[in-house]
Amino acid sequence: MVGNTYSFLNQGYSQESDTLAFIFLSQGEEEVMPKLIEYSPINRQGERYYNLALMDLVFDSIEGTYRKDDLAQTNNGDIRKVLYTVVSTIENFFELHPAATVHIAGSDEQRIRVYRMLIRRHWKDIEPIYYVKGFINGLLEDFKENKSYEFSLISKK
Amino acid sequence: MATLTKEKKPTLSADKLILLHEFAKKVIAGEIQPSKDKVQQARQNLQKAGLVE
Repeated sequence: MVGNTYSFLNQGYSQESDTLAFIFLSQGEEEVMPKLIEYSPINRQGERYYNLALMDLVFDSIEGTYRKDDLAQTNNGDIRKVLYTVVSTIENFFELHPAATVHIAGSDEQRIRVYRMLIRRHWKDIEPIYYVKGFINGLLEDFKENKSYEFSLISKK
Repeated sequence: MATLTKEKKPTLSADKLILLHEFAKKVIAGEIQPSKDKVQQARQNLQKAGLVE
């Protein structure tokens, strides 16, 4: 369904934290940035919602280890490939949690635009398999290509 | 005659790659908790939509 993606360095599911994680290297012209895709539970009761997060893994030279950086998301000039990589994990998530709903919020306007473009471009592949809803002006509605949503929800049909 | 030069792309050092693998194992083992800020932000969004309490 998606275009060119990065291969994963590591991937796995933690039953303890109920988190599905994928790690890959974003290859830029200037630097290599390790990135983490993380599906983590938002609520523990009722209908299950999970947050899909993409973040940088930065090297802490004082601690001598890597750590998550919740705020920074390096743009390595490869945003499409990075987002295609993110999208490629959705199927894995729903194999694990077929009845769950995934919350997606782009961290900035560029990412929101690219997410929207990806959904639009692959709508004929997405529509038969997934429900996609968007939140705008205080309302949740079926996804429309031309709208910029505050966040989106994806679930399996 | 034109010569082809192969552009060298940046890479992670072997040491950092080992440390990254170690970190990744901890994430996957659940030893490193999910990012609370992002989950909290997501919960607030779902609350705005009336989907969770």
